[in-house]
Amino acid sequence: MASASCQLSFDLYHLSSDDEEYLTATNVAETTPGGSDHAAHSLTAASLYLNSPPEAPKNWGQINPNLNVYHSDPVEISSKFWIPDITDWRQQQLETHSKYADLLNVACDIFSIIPHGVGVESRLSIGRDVIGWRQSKTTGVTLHEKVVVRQFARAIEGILAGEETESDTTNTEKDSEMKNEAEERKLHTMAKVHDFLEMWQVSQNLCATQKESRAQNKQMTAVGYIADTEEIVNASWSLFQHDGAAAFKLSERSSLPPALSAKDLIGGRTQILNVRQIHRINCHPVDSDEDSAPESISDTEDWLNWNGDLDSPNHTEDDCMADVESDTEQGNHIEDLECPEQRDLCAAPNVPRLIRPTPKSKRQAEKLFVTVDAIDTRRNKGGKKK
Amino acid sequence: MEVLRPFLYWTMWMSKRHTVTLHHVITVFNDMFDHMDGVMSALAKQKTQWKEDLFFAVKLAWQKLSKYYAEVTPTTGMLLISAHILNPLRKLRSFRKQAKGMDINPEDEISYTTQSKEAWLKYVENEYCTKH
Repeated sequence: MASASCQLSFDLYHLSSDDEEYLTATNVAETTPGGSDHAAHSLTAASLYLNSPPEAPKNWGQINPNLNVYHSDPVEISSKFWIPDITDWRQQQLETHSKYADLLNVACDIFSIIPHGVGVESRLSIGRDVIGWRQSKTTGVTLHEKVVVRQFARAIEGILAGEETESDTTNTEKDSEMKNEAEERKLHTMAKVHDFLEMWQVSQNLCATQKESRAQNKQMTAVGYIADTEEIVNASWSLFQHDGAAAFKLSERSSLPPALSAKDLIGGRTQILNVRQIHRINCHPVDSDEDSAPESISDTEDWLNWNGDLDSPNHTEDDCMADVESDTEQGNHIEDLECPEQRDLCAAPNVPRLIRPTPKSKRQAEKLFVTVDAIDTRRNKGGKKK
Repeated sequence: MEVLRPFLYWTMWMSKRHTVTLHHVITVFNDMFDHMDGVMSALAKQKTQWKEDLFFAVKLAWQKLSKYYAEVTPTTGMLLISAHILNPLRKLRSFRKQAKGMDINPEDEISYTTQSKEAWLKYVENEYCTKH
């Protein structure tokens, strides 16, 4: 009002563009004389309330909670002593039209706030994060469930945390990509675990199947099949006799196919075939040039696996026949003892630590070919006679 | 356990109430401070290792609680102050007791009692007198 009077004193024609006087008039219109009286009563009541001494609890049953009885059960204390509260005192003031009755509105507004909704208390608890400070009728069970759900949501990185995701408006694409990568990593780990579990299940099934088949094998062994262990235990070295030099002769014979009689031979071709095979084996690089190393590992393997040449698919019977025919054309017949094939009849593979045939066995082989030649000569003569 | 028992007691006491409890918050705060002061005074001259550790832990708890209690000011904790003043059993008694403990005259302008009183009157005037 002072400012308005000042304006009137200087603005004689009321031409001021300042809206302050209009605003002041509006504000005055809001406050009625009755309202101003009520406000004055409230302020007076508050001053009187503060200047008066505290009330005695005996008047309305309120007790002082600061009892230093920490060992007692607070719930029992509540049931025995804490039934009346300050609301009863307020009710008494209202019914008796006390001078403090004007503070009833203040008390109702403030005491309706739950303690954990106040700022300082919310620091000590998570109550305010869960429910607002105006939700005073939430039961303890509901509060507990909401706290559990919220904490679980925070534990799994913000899922279901509505407030955080809504308030977090600064989420960039980078963050979303990082979250996706993290989720993919988790899924990958879960997939690995799943694969491992599947493999483990398969191995378990395999073990079970093997156990079942083992029992069946034992039954079959009892019937007459070969067992895994029993036959091995019964074997002993006494069954292998040392034959001395005869053992080498046996090995010499067994290394070649059984010799055929001259009657079974058709021109001695089969024998020539065997001779040629032995000749190939005898072409060992060590024999040809002892100082030179084998050209490759395959060469060494060829002469080590010399028996395999007999069954070699690359060297077919047609090739052998062609070789025989070429030999026949060249005049290198079986009767020619000077040909290298016949001289290499007793040749053994040049395997290290393998004992070669003795000169005696060479002489026996020569005698054998001489006998064959004699039989052929007689047959030819007989045929001519016929 | 004896050190922590009041914390359990007051937590249970506050959570089991079916009536108004907001006006007891400052009272509980003061009681907790008194309890921790008593424990620290009892353990201050003890030389046993576990007692020294307990003294150190209680001291840290006291500092933590005082950090929160310091926020109960007329600007940040007006709700708690108003609720405490509206308790007809207490009114400004707790603030006066605190001022005496700090060797401050309760009627002095610097005292917590005077600041709380003026803040509450201003709160009532602003919130209830200007709107009606």
